[in-house]
Amino acid sequence: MEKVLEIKDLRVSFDTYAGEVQAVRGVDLTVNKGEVVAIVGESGCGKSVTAQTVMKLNPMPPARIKTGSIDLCGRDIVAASEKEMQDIRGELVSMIFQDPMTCMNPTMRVGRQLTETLIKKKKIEKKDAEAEAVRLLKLVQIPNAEERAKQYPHEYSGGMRQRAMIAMALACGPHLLIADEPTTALDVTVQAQIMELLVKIKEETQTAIILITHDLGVVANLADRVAVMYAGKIVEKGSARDIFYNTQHPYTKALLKSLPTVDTKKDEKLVSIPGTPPDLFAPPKGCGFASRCESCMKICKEYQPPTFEVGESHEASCWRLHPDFPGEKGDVK
Amino acid sequence: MKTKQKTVIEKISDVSYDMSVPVPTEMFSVIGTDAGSMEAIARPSISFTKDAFNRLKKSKVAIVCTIVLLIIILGAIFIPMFTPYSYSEQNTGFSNKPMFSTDPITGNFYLFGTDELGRDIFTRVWYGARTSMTVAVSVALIDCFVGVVYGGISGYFGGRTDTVMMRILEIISGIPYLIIVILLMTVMNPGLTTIIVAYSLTGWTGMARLVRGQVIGLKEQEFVIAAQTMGASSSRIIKRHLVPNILSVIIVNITLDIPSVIFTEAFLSLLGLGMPAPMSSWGVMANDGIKMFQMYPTQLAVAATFICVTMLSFNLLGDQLRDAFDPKLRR
Amino acid sequence: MSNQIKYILKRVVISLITILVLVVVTFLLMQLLPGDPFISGKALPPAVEEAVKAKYGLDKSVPEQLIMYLTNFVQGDFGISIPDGRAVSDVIGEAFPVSFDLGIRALIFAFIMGILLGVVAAVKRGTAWDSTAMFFALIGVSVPSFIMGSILQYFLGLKLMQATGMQIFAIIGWNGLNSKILPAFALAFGSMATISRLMRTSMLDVLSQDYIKTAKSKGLNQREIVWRHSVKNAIMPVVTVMGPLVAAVLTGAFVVENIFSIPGMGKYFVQAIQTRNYTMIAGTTAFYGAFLIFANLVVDIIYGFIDPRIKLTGRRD
Repeated sequence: MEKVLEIKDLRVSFDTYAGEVQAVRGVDLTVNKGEVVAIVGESGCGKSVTAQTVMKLNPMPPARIKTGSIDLCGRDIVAASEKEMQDIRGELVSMIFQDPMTCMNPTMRVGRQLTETLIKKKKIEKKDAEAEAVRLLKLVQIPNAEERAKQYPHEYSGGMRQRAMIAMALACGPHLLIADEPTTALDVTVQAQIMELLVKIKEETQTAIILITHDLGVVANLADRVAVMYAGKIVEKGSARDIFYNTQHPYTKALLKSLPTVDTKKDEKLVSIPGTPPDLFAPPKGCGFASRCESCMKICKEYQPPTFEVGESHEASCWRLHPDFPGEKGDVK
Repeated sequence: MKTKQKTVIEKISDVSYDMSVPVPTEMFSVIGTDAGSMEAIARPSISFTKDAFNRLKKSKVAIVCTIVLLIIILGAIFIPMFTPYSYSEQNTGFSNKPMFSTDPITGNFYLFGTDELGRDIFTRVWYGARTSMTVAVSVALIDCFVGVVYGGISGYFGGRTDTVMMRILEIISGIPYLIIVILLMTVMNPGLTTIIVAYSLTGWTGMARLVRGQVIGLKEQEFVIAAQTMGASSSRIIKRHLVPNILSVIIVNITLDIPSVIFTEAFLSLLGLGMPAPMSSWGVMANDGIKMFQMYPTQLAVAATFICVTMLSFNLLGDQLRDAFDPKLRR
Repeated sequence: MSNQIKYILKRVVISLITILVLVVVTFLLMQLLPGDPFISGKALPPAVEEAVKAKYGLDKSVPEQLIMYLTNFVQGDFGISIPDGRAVSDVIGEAFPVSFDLGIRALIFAFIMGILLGVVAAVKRGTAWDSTAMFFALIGVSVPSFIMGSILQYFLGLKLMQATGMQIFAIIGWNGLNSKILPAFALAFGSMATISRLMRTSMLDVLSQDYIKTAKSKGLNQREIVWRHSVKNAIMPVVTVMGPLVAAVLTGAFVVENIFSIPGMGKYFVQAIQTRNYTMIAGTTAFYGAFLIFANLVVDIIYGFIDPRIKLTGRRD
């Protein structure tokens, strides 16, 4: 399969007043053409930083790529200059953000926000760009696209703005679309519509999508593969099926347990994971999840768990998968 | 402090295991969750005011400005007590003399020289400092008091009271500040009190707006609503949330108000609406200096230096204070 | 009725009330003066004095006088300068265009330079560009226009002429471009500094907004991000202070005119104060105040058109 993105051992740190915050601590991730890869994790686990580093969107400094390589359609992102990045952004990779309310320029008509990239990147005439903008708005199912293109963002509803954002991101036919919690700020009914739209776009255009979310429910229907992040590391990754039905890592297990289901009784307490993630200002020397893990062992506190292959393209980082582990493998509480 | 913390981090960065070595079984003994370290916060926690004060102390600019202003204020209080001349004492035979001149007849020494009427510029500039600083500080404090009361009432009660009070304020502040001061100064008897009254009649509107904005903003802020739902009493909300937020606005505003009053005083003196002769103020001295500027530039230079240095120090200090108090700039 | 029109109407009504208040206050303050305004100053010929008294209704009650004063003001009659018997409106007609010319030059210069400096400082934040621009801005807000004017006059007018033997900048007067540069610059410097400081803060705020990240993620370069996406949004808060700034520049002109001996409103105004010519002072200040309130209104209306959000909500911020 054709690789769109390959991240190897990426480490990103932020230099702050008190010292270095290690936001991403060695991430490996591959995304293939026409594939939806979900990165799941709680806030602050480094999933957004990882995604933004692919586009080099986080300001450097304070952010800094310590080690690792990012290969995007054959381009070396880590070495790319800001000028090269400007060509890459929008054309090879584009992004939609969490809050569509603040992500559009309030004093520029939506149509113009669409055409400016078309004119710049595709070198087409203004008139053709306007027609293309209307086509894109129609593609993302905005009614009365001709008139809507002439409006300002504040005349749009939240869901419509997110659609327009998607249209903007698709304008130049990128190979990879990064969706950073695209539905978190939207109503539940609108969330489903946006997700459906993303699926439709993936099928029609074969664009690879990285979907960043903290909602495992969203992932189940949409993602081909899932990477679960915790404390700056990917703790488990595999097909959506593997993650849901052959869970290996205690953190993934805990996440799944915390999902309320239809069967959850009314008076039943929702399950939560006790404790908080470690402060990445001073990450633990062992496993990041150790202090919250019910199956935590002595070695977990002392050493980083290596990554073990569990099945075909299914990996997890947990000491319980080590060949010397005396208990039954994968037997996680 | 910074380096110390950094070395600690390097030490505890992730440790990987040599995979060629078999893992001893005892390493696999389950110890379960660790409640104690779970909630551990590695970052040092600093209170807001302490943090603001710390940053202010670190700023060399703020320290230099404070020292300069202290010198000017203390000088304004004490130097006129010890100078051998009074601000109005004339030495008509020895006028318009440059700096460091000694009168050959009387043997009087003039550090900054003499003006058109043979008055000692050094004495006059420190007397001027007294006048100008008194005016500036009084006006800033009155503005602040009236503004806090007006803005506080308007913002606190809201609704119709707020609407009416804001309309009135809009009209008052719609009349250009200098225009109203000029009119007042024209009809009132010249003097220190007049100047203070005239300046403070219109100057408070900016402060009132700021305070009202703060009060309304705070009333609606989620953390205040959160504090209310958690059962915090009004006095606690006012003490913990309202006062610290408004206090920073007030302090910054006073600091930035003072230079603008100093400017206004000088400006009106130049129009002939300043302190009556033979009183001295920086504005009066600037006015006298400008008349003689082409021939005796030092006379203006002295007054101008005092005006500019004071305004600059207050402006710089105000900027530093604003940055120090701005939670958004806290890193 | 569209919100935009509602917003503009509201501003117009408030401005009219403000002007009314200003004129009434002026009138009342004049009433506070000892004696009647026509006694002070030089004595007029009895016939003229009678005519003037009748015209301004000085024999009538205060409320009636007020109504007359207001009617006259609306008709452009701001009273009579007692010492020379000239109509105040004549003096204004002669001197105001000069002050206005000076003020407009200063304002345009202050606005363009202020915006440029602010943008450069924000974009190059933390560099030598930023510190240099902000150093000048700080000097600008701390050095009053009359001191700046005197310094410029002394060094660029007098000393430069003595050094080069050429009059590159005229020291006094208001004829030809070389006499207009120094006073306009002296007057503009403070406002330029204020604008650049505001613009820098506003730009930094805009540059940290999400939509700038969007623009960056679309692959736009820095120039496009700054000029197309940031400046228009960042200029909004600057436009809101333009009203008071116009007032500051135009009143500041009073003093700068005196330093450079420019025959504008400032010259007549200072003369009027020195001669205690109260009707002249009242007439010119009331006119000037009304003009500045009007200028403020114009700024607000412009703002109503450039910010599309006003169309929707009918209010700013």
